[in-house]
Formats: sequence, C-alpha cells, structure tokens
Amino acid sequence: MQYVGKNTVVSTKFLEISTQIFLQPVRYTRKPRWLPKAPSKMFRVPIRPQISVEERNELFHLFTNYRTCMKAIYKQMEEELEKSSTGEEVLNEIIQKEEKEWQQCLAINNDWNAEVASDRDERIAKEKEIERQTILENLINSEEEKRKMMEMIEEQVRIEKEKSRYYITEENIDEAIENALNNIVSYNYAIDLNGTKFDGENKSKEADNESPKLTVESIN
Amino acid sequence: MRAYRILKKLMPSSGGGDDYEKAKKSIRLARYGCANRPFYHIVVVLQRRDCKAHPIEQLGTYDPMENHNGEKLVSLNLERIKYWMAKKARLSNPVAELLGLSGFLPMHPRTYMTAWRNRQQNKTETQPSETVTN
Repeated sequence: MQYVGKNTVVSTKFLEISTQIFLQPVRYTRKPRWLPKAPSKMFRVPIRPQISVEERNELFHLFTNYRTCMKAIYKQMEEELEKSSTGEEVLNEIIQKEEKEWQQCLAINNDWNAEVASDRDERIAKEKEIERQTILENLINSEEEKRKMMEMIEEQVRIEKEKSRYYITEENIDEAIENALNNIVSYNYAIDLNGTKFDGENKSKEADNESPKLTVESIN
Repeated sequence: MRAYRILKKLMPSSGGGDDYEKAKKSIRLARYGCANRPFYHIVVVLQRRDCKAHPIEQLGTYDPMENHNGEKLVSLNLERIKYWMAKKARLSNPVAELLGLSGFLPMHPRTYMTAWRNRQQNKTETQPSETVTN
C-alpha cells in the first residue's frame, strides 16, 4: 500500500504510540472525470508520435495490400463454408448416406415384419382351431337339444293321443250327456279325519231355494 | 473509483455465451492471467460486449511470457477460426498479428512496423555504446 500523509517518514515507535495519523489509500482510485487538469500538468504538451513520410507511405502501401488480401481470403472462406453445406459433392454424399440409412431401416423393418407375420400366423391358426372346436361343440349341443325337444314333443303327443279316446265329440255328445244324467255324482258331503263320508239329506235344493230369497232381501 | 464487476454466474471460459445470428462478432484476446502474469484466451465474442464477457467460443490460447526455451506458446483452432471468419467475425489487431505470424493469414503490417522500429531503436542504442567503446 502507498500512503499519503502529513508525515511521510514514520518511525515504528511513533506508529506504536500514535492513535491518529492521517492515512489515505491511493491505490485503486482514479481522478474523477469532473476534476480539472492537475496543476502540475496544466501546461504539459503531449509529444505527438513522429512518423516520417517514407514510413507513412510504406505503412499505407502495406495496409492497403493487407486489406485487399484479407478481403479475398474472407470471400474464399465464405464460399468454402457455403460449399460445405450446399456443394454438389457434399449433397451427393448426404444423399448417399441417407439412402444407405434408409436401406438399413428397410432391412430392419422387413425383419420385424417377418417375425410379426410368423407370430400372427401361429396365433391365427390357434384361434381358428379353437373356433372350430367351439362350433363343433355348439353343433353337438344343439342337436342334442333338438333331440330332447323332439322326445318331449312326442311324449306330449302320445299323452294327448291317449287322452283323445275320452274326448267328447259331436258323435258321442248325446251318449255323454245321457251318461252324465244317469250317473249324477254329488260331492256335497262332509268328511271326518278318518275319511268316512257323511251323506246327509240332499240339502242342496233347500239351499238353492233359500239363496234367491236372501239375495232379494239383501237387494231390498 | 473503479467499478468492480459483479459476477452473476460462473460461466465456462471455453464458450457458450450469447450468440445472435446477425450480431457482429469479433475474434480477440481475453486476458485470463493474474497480476504480473498475463495469459490470453483467443475467443469469439459479440463485438459490443466487453473484453471479459462470456465468449461464444474459445478458439485458442496465447501465452505472451517466454518459457524456459524462449518460446511464446500459441494454440489455435484453425478450423473454427476459418468458420468464424467465414461468418464475418472481425479480427482484432493482436489476433491478426498472431495469425499472420503463424502463417495462416498474410503478415500483418503492424508486425513489420514493430520490427523495423525495434531495429531502429536497437541501432540508436548500440551506436552511442560503440562510440563509447571506440
């Protein structure tokens, strides 16, 4: 550190004893822009670089030459860069590369397709076999059911045929009426726990006589 | 007072900075040494950015201090330099000089100038000493 103070020469003893010394760090500071020119530099005239005419001409010549060279080089580089992305050879190469990749992809795809096709064929064959079995089963079942149905129907027909012997038809209706009138069956009897019938007097006629009376009364 | 830079983020010095398609770029030296030990990276940066800005890409290094063999070491990524020059990146003078000395571009006139000035200076320095010896 560099210090600016009242006492530039400071003994170590004094440093130990003293409490107040005017110290100001100068490093890392600059004269602010708004301060005027330092009084010591007030009348200083900076020396301009002195370049001879010869040197100036030489430099002019060199720089113009350099600039033209650089222009050409820049242009060349630009063209090269453009060619690297849009040149015929590069494009052809890219196309070939893409074609190659495409072929590879195709081959891989074909392999996959073949694999999948074999798997699918197997699966379809299995499914067909299963379907065939189920259809067969269904056919057998349906035949069985049909047979059962036919049996049932035949049974019913047989029963009906047997019953048909006792049918009352136009031919034997008179006979049936005659028979019914001749054999009157009365169910109007009581029964006890042992099953003995108690035929009372025929009260049905009385009841028949009584009932209209009742109805008349109820109506009136 | 010097305004100290506030570092917002730690950026890789090897590149990855802002790059806009139409913005001007320049290839220049960025000082990455420490006190009394200069060391430079050759970088592409947006031209309006300051010298320590995050570079778009690092293109090489330059060690201006001679090593024990008396060599100043320069490394250049010529392929990328070509690419960036094709993208119209401006060359700063020191970089142009380095590229000229390396034989990648024509000699920069400043090298000639410094050379002949040094020669002249040497002459003026040696002449009085010769007179003294004589």
